[in-house]
Amino acid sequence: MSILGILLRRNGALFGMALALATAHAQVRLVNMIPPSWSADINQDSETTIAANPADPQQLVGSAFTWDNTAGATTWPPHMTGSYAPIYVSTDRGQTWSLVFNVPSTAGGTLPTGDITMFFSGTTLGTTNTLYTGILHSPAIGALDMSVYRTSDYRTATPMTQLDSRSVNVDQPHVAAGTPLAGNLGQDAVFVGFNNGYSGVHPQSATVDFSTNAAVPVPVFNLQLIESRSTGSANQDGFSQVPTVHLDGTVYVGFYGWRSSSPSTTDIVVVRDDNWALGATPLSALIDPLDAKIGSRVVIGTSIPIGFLGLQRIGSSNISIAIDPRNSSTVYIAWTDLAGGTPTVHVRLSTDRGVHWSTADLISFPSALNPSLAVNSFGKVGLLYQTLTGARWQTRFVRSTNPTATTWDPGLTLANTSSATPARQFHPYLGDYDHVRAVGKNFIGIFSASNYPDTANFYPGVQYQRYVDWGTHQLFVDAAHTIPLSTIAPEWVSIDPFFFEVDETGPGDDFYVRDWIHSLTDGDNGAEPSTDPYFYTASDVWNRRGTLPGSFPNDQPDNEDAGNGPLIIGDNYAFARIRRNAVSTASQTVTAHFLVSNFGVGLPFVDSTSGFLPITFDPDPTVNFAPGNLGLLTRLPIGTSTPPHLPIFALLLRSTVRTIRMSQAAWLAARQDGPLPTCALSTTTIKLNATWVFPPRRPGGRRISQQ
Amino acid sequence: MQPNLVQPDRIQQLAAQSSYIFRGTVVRINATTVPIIPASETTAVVYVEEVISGKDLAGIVKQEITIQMRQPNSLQPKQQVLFFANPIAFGKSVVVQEVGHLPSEGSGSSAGLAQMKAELPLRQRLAQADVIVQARVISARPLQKEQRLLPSEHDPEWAEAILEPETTMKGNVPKRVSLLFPLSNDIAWFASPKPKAGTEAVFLLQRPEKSLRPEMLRGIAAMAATVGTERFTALHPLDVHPKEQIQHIKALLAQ
Repeated sequence: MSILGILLRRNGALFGMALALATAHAQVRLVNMIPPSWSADINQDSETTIAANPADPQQLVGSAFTWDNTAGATTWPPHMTGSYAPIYVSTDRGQTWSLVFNVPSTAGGTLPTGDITMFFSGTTLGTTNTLYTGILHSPAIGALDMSVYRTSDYRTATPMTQLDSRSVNVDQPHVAAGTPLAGNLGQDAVFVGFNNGYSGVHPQSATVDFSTNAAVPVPVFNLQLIESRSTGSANQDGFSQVPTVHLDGTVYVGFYGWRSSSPSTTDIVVVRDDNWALGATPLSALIDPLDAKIGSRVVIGTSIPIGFLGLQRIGSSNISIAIDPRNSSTVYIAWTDLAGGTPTVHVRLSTDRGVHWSTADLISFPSALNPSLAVNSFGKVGLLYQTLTGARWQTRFVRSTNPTATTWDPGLTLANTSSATPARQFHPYLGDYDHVRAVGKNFIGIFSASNYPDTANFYPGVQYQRYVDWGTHQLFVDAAHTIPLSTIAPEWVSIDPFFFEVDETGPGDDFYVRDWIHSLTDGDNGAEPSTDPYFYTASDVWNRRGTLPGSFPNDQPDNEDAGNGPLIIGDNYAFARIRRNAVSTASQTVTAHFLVSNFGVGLPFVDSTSGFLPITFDPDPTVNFAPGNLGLLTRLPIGTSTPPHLPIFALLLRSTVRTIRMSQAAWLAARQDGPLPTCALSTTTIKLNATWVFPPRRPGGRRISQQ
Repeated sequence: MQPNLVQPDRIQQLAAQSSYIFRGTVVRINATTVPIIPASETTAVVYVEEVISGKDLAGIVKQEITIQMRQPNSLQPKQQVLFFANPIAFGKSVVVQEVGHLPSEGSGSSAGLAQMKAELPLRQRLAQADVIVQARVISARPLQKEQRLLPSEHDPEWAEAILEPETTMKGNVPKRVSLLFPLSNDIAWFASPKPKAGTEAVFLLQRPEKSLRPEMLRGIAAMAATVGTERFTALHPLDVHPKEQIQHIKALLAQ
C-alpha cells in the first residue's frame, strides 16, 4: 500500500493524514559496489554494513574489509599502503559508489580495520548528518582495539575523529544512533554494543559503550554491562551485542548470553531502555518474567553456533534486532543457532516491549546465517540472510505479508554463486554479518558475494560499476577493456560488496504530499524523508482565507496569513499538492486521512477516529489521478476541535511514520502576541484568532526525520 | 630544480609517506575530474603517464585524474612531474592527495624508484627486529588452550615453533629459540607467518615484550610453552623469508 500523509499539530498534538493506494509490485536494484577506477580489486571485500542519512536518503555509506589498495589482501605481504581505510560512499541512493579514505588504519598494517559498523544520527555538525562508526582498529598487527569515531561529512577524506576506545579482548562493535525529538533535543545518543573481554577476561562480556550526548566536541562514553546472569563454564558472552533505537527513546540490545561451554549453550537475550539511557540504571528496563533478572530471554539454552557453513565460519555475529517504526513496543529479533546440528536462522516477535516473545519462529531457514532484519514504515518486516544450498551460496531477502509477520513472501534471490570459488583469503569469507535497513517504505541492504560475472548468478538487472564483459564473463582493469583482470591476477574472481534496494512501490504508484518547492525546477521529489532542510519556508501546504487555492508564482503556492477574528474572519483553509513521479497505465484514486499523535512525547500515531484527542474531521477527501496525471491539488479536510484548543496551531508533513506515506514535513505555527486569544469553531473550518506564521525554525527545533 | 640533483634521501622520505608514485603531466590547474572535489587553487587535473608504485592506478594510465596539491598553485600546466601521493577517492575518476612532487626529469629511473619503494617495508622490519637468523624449524605445535573456553573469532590460536639458528645476522641467540606464532586465519592474523617443521628460512625475530600486548603475554604465559628457551615472535608477513633471500637481506643490513 502506498500512502501519503499530512500531520497537523494543535495544542501539542499532531494530526497525520494518510493517502492509501492499492499495493503495487516491488522493484529491485542490485549493484556491485566496486567503483570503476577500483576495477583492479582482487581483495576479499567481505563483512558488509550500510547506513542511510535520515535527512537525505540519497546519501548512503557502506563498509567492508576493503584495503586501501586493490591487492592488499592477496599480494605478499598483505598490507595497507596508507593510514586510512576506505568506506563506500553514494550520493545517488546507491546507483554509483566511490571509495573515500577516511577510516583510521595503520600504514604497513596487514588489515584495513577489523569489524566495522556505521550509523547516521539526526544531527548535522558539518555538511551531512553525523556518521558514527564503531571499528576494531589495529595498531599494526594482532590485538585489536574497539574505537568509536565520527565524521561530519562522510563524503570527504578528512580522517574520522576518535571519540572513545576500549581494549583487551574486545570485539564486534555494532553501532546505532538516534537524535531525540524532544527532551534531550538535538543531542545524539550513540550505542555501541560490543564484546568486552572475551576468552575469560570478563566472564560477563556483553557490554554497551554509549554516550547520551555524542555530538559535542568531547563526548563522554560510559560502559554498561548488559549481562545479568552467569556465563558459567563459557566464561564469556557470545558474539555479538546489537543495539537498535527508536526515535521515541526506546533502545533495545539483543545478544547471545552464553551459559555453558560443554555442552555449548546460550540464551538469546534482549535488554531495553525507555529513554535514551538517560536514567541512573541504563538498559535495565526489561525484566525477564521467569527469573526476574534484567534482560528478557527470547529462548533459553539453545546451542551456540560454532563451526563452518561452507567456507564461512558461523557464530561470530548472527544476531539482528529491529523495531517497528510505527510502534516501539513491537520488536523483532533474528539469530542463528545450531538447531539439530545445522546452522539455522530464526525470527521471533514481541509486541509488549520485549517482555514476552513468540514461542514459535515466525520464519526459519536451515543451513543459513547472517540474518539481518528491518521494519519499514508500513510495518513490513524484511529479512536478509545467506544460505548454503548444494554447492551454491544464496543471498536471499524475504518480506512479511501480514501484520503479525506469520506469513512471508517467497523471497528474492539476490545472488546465487559458487560456494567453492573464489578461494578464501581469510576468515570471514562472506563476513560475520550483512545488513538490511528500512528507508521509509523501502529496504536497502548490502552483502558480500563472489563477483564472477555471470548474470545468471544474480537478480535480473544486476549492475556492475567495475569494468565487466558479461558475454565473455570477464572483468577488466580499464574502461577500454584492454587489460583483463585475469592477466594481472590469475585468481581474479573475488568477494565483492553488493548493494540492493527493494522499492515497495513503483514510481507510478507512489504518491506523496509535495512539501516544498523553491523554483519551477527545484521541488520535492518525494524522497523519504525530505531532502530539503528548510522545506517549511516554501511549503506546499499552505493557508488561504477562502476556499480557492490562490495563485502560484514560480510554482510556489501563495500562502495567506490566517484570518484572525470572529465568525467568517477566522475561517481558514489548508491546501496541499499531491504528486507522483511517473504516470501509470490506469486511473487511481488517492484518499487522504488523518492520523493523530501527541507531538514530542514519542507516542505512536493513531487513527484520527480513535477518539485519542477531542478532534473530529470532515470526511476523507479523495483525489482522482488519471493515468497521465503527475500532480494534483487538494483542500485538506478541516477538523473541528472542542475549545479551547487553539493557542498553537501547526501543520506538518512528515516522512516514514508508521503505516503512512508521509514524505515530508512542513510547519505552520501560530505566534501569540498579547493575551491568550479565544476562538470560535464551526463544523467545517478551523477558525483562529491568532496569526499563523512560518517560523524560521521552531525553538530549539530541527528537522523531523526518522531512520 | 635541475635534472639529476634530486637528493635520494628526499625521494625516500616522500616514498615512505606515499601509497602511489607516478609520473604525469599537468593538464589543467584549478580543475577537477570529480564533482565531490570542487575545483580550487589546490586542485589540478593530471594526465597519468606511468605508474611506478601502486597497482591500483594501473587502470588509469593514459587517463586524467585529480591531484589535491599540498600548496595552492604549486603546479603549472604542461609541467612533467613525479608525484608521491595517497588516495582520497576512487569512483568514476580518481582523486589523490599529493605528499610531494619532483620534476620528472632527474628523479631517477622508474625501475630504481619502484625497487626502492618496494624495499621500504622490509627495511623497516629489519630495523625493528631484535634478532635476525637463518634457522631450521625443528618442530611446530599448537599451544594448549584452556579447555573450558569456546573459540573466539580473533583468538590467535597460539602455536610454538622451535628454531635452530644456523646463521645469526643481528643480535645474539642460544642454540634453540621458541617462536610463538598464530595459527588463526582470521583477518587479524591470517597474514602472520605460520612456519612448519623442517622449513629453513630467514627469521626477523622480536621479543614478545615488544611485539605483544600485556594481555596476550599473560595469555601465553598460561599455556604450556616449552620451558627454558628464549621466546620470540615473527608476526609480520615480512618477518620470515625463504633462505635463498639471505644474501639480499644481508645486503640490506649492510647498507
